[in-house]
Amino acid sequence: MLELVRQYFVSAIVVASALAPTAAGISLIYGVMRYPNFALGEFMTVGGYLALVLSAALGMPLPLAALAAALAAGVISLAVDQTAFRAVRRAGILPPILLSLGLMLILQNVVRIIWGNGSWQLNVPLARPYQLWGFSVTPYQLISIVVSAVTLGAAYVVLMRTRFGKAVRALADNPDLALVSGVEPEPVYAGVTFMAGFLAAIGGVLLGLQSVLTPLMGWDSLLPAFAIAILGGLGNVMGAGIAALIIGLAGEYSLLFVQSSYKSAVAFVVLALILIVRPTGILGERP
Amino acid sequence: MLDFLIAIVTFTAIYAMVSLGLNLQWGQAGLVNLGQVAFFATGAYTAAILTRANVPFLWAILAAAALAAVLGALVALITPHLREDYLAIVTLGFAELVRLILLNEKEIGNGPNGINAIPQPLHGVAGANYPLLFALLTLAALAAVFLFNERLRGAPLGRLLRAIRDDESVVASIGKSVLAFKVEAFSLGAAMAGAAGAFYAAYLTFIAPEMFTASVSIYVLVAVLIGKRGSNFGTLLGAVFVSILLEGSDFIKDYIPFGTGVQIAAFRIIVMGAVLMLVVLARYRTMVES
Amino acid sequence: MTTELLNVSMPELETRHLVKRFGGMQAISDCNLRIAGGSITGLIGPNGAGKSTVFSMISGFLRSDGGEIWFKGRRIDGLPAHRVARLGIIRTFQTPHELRELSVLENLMVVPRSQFGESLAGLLPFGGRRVRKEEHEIEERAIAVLRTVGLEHHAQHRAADLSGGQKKLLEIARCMMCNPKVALLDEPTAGVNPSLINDLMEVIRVLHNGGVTVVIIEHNMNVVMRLCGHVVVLDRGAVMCEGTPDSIQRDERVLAAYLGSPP
Repeated sequence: MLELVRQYFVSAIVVASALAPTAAGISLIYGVMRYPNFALGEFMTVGGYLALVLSAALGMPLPLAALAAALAAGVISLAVDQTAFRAVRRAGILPPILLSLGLMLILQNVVRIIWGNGSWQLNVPLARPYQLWGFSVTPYQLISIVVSAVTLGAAYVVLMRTRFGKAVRALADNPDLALVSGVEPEPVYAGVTFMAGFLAAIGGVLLGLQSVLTPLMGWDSLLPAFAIAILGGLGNVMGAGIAALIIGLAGEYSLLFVQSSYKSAVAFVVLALILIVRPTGILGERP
Repeated sequence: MLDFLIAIVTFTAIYAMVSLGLNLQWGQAGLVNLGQVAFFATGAYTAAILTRANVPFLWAILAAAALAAVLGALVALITPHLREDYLAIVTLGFAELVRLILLNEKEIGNGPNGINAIPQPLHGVAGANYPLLFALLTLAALAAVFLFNERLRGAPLGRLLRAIRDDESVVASIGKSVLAFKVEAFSLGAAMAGAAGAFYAAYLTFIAPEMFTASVSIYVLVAVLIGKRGSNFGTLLGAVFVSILLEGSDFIKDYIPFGTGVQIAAFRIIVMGAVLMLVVLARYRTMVES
Repeated sequence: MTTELLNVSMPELETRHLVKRFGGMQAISDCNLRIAGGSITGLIGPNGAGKSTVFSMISGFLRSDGGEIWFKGRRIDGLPAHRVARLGIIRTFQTPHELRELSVLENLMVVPRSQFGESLAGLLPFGGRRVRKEEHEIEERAIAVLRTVGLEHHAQHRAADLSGGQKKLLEIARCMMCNPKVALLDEPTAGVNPSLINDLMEVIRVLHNGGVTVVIIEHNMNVVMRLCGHVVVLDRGAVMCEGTPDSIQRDERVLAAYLGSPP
């Protein structure tokens, strides 16, 4: 039992590492552009499969393939934003939500048309788990944790140390004030959508590294990622990192009580409770 | 060809009932619901289980609608103060929760294997013409749902629901319980989806959790959007479009020389997603909330 | 004899030590209002004094963080907004909340409570006649109210298409349609064309003459002086002073706080 509890702790961190970047992307778009983007889960899927193609078919080393896939996902995200979402900027919250649902269907099924319904494996050699402070961890789990932390850290630095980041935070905190202080919103929106696509794709590659790629991997991660984004505070990247651990732990330790296929349901229940009990969010963002 | 037409009509009628339910909730009362499939599934499973236990179809429909309505009331009761976007997330997640329960709780409907050999009403009566008879039954149910919605739209009740959609604080300020009417609208819309589920189960004679994914909720959303939110007739047309796109391609796939079944299925969902995006881009001006 | 005396001295509507905080800021602190039945009371004070906040708390739209609200000997704080409205306390909104997609007439026709036509039974086939009769009665009343406020020619227009001033009138019309005991009018003349203000004051008098207690938040001192029998000055979330319009106008503290310039 104790062994199980310890091992769940490891898998919670591993799960969190794949979900956190996606949740950070959701959080950024939600916090700055004020809508929940349901298509971001699919950017995980797209990122994972692009990395597969670039590494397996074109022979790129996986780290390079992952980076290229994430850049490509960012560009796709940006392109869709400029061609579709940009038109509905001032139309309230419903139109972008509906657009993101349409995009979700499209991306998920483009993947299905190209790669089918089955699962794919990123081509990495099998590796024996390490024993680390009494925990059993595979090298890929370690890589996943490190890459996730580095990615989030980089995003955090971008948000805290650059002019772009300052504008992002200004728009997230108080859009009216930001606009009258001369922040140009469109370049910020563009940057945020690119970042969100990029982050989600990294999450997708990490998820692929941990298990397999399937067309539904993004959808299955969507509710947990939303739970994390909202728990962590919208627009708050580090909050997403911490919330990912909480949701990850909740999901893993729930296995002591329910079947594993309920994991994403556990995240949803946490999410629904947050929304219903504290409709303004947890870490005190705007109402 | 005639078989094909009858099948399309049946599917259309079923989708139209689900869509009209959403139109009542969202089009009239302004309640965002991205989880309509949950009520559809509830109805389908309820009816399947009951008719297999030899309960007459009519009672099974009523039970399906009633259980869906109760579930709908529950959702409306726990989410009364949620903003539109949070309601979108919660309803989407709720439907996923229902699907996971159907998948995992094998006592309900055999988990992923689903329920088969669902009895069909009046089966012995029409012989070879049975599909036509079933289509007519479904159309009759659709007509009832449609007339009910139209009557509601023209009634003071419809006016009040539209008042809630416009500004619920006004409705509270004149002394009316917004919550009570929201619960009513939400459970009525859910009941329509539940009844449609009963027909779906009987028509296919087989149901499984994989048939009740979030995509279905989005399809009926597309139907309501195409028809201009709020219009029952428009929703009907939207449902015709959606079911031709979804089920029509099933019947022509034998004649298409390229693509696997999975690819054709995926392609039509891509078309659905594109239609959704295009309709939103064409209509977003009429959706602006105050 | 004693009960009569008690009735005279007991306010119809009262707030006791009302408190409201937004974040760390104390918006309302120890606010004690006493509104006499049948009066027209003006609630004035500088921007941010908390006037609208007090209205929102009385009408149940906002929860107080402390204190009590009493109406006719009954404690009403904590009641949801629609329950407060059912007791006869009807508020209007500072920025008009018209039902945009409904016609002006429909904006009033939604008001009467327990309409048979708003029940599911009203949808049944045999309910039609009763609903039509009820609708006819409600429509007549709504038209009469629209006539009082001078909006009868706009009855069939979309409410969203009304001008700002007309929307203000619609707010008051909706309040009238509710048959209130207490009307809480939040800046009814703000943004209204000056030529319409006299009409608006007349409408408020009609409301008052119908036996309604009126509490009115108002910035236009001219309106306050001519309409109100009693004026309460709110400053930084508490009652600074109160009295007749004349005495208030002469009060130096009021001049200082309200006009923002030392006398």
